[in-house]
Amino acid sequence: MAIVIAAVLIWSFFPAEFYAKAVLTIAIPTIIIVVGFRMITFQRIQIIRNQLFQIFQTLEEFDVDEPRKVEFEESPFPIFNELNEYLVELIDRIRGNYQANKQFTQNASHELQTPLAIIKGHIEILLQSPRIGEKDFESLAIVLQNTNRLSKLNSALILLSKIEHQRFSDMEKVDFRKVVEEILKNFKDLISIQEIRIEKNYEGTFEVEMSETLAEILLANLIQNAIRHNVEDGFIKIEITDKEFSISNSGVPPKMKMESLFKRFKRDSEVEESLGLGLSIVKRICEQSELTINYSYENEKHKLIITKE
Amino acid sequence: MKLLIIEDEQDLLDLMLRYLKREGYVCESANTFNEGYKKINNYEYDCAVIDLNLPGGDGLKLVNILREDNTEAGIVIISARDTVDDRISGLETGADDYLTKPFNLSELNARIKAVLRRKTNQFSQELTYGDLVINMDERKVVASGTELKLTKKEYNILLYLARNKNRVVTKDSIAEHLWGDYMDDAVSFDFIYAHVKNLRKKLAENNCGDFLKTVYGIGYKFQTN
Repeated sequence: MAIVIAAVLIWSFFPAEFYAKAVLTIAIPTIIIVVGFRMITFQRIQIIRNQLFQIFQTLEEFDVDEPRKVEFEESPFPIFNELNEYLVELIDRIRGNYQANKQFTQNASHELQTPLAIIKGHIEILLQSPRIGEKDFESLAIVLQNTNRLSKLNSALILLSKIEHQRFSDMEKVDFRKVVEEILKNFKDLISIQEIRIEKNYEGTFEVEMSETLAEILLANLIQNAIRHNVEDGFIKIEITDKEFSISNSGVPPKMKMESLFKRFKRDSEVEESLGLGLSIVKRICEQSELTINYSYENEKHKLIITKE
Repeated sequence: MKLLIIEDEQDLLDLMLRYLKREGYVCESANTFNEGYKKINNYEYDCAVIDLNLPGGDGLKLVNILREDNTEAGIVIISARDTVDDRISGLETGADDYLTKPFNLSELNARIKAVLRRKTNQFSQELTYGDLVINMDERKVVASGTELKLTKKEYNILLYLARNKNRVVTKDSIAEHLWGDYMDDAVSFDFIYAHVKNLRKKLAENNCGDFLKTVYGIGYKFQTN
């Protein structure tokens, strides 16, 4: 109410022209100031956006396993410089921890090798002793079994760490068909004893530029898996085209989720003494050799398909 | 037969000495590069077992020296280095065999025997146990005068057990011998069982059935006495 009365009073004191001038003198600078501010803010936002983008890009390129130092550009905004400093420190710390961790796993498994070998050796010697009774033999058998388990586990871990550190340099063009044939020859007796049928369908050549040793380990693992998780009167089917390699076998459906199948120490089977490291070795080798591996279960058939990335 | 074992890990060295002495070899040992070098220069051996990582120098140099002045001695490298390149460079330097650590003593024993057989004429090309004859040149097995039809794996198991005769040979050592490192125990043990069963049947059909003994839970034994 008071505002309305004040407005009527002011209106009656000043004429209309005055308003026009007043509006002009006040409005134009205001507009200029507003537009100017907006432009400045816009520019600043642009700069901020660019810098955020740069940080994002640097972080995206960051590889924990690479020794190259992460660097950010100097920014006109102190807050960004602070953030950058913090990030650099964080990254250094992550790297440090990662390297220490890696070193530890590697050292641990290597250091375990010799004592394990010595334990195994002494068991071998004890086994030859004529003075050991039947009961002692049983204990010895259990000690031996578990030592073997430990040492298999250890060598699998060493293998995994070796794959992760790209310690295999025998790179060449590997023909999967040749390697598979070689492995099948080696496993021939195993396959025939279990009465597993082998079906082959070779329509092309699947060649991959990779370590030959790793290719052998990869395919031997897959074939072993197909034998172990098979059923009575089962089959293994190997298909090769120019674009993909696949191996399928008859078997009971998996009990665990498919994603976790490739994780370390996961195993899906009643088969004892399986380490659960086989498929994670398979996956590692694929990643290292730029191959993609996919698993599916359909019509009572496990199928693993390898394609080039 | 005189052996030289060069290995710096004392426990492992003792193990090898104990196992190999029981085979009837005269064994000498060295812990360091220099010690090994002296023994190689001063004495003659039928076979040398050499570790590559030695205090004081690279075992490969010893292999080289041994090859240069005594072409007769067999050389088996034992090493934790296990890449294909390591193997190749070891064999190219003149070693007869390359065994990666960790290994089973029965495997080392079998390898040394194979090397000695190739190197010297003292080892006959045939192993004879009563009515059973294993001919290693032709990879033939004759039982009571009849040649047995064995698969490659059956032959390999029989030879491996025979080379470690009168000793208990563990299943995992047989598995490693047949299929290499990366074979899963769960699978391989069943197959070893099946192979040995077949082998025993074939031997029994020709009155040679008593050689293969099962050591329950552990492995097998080729028994001659």
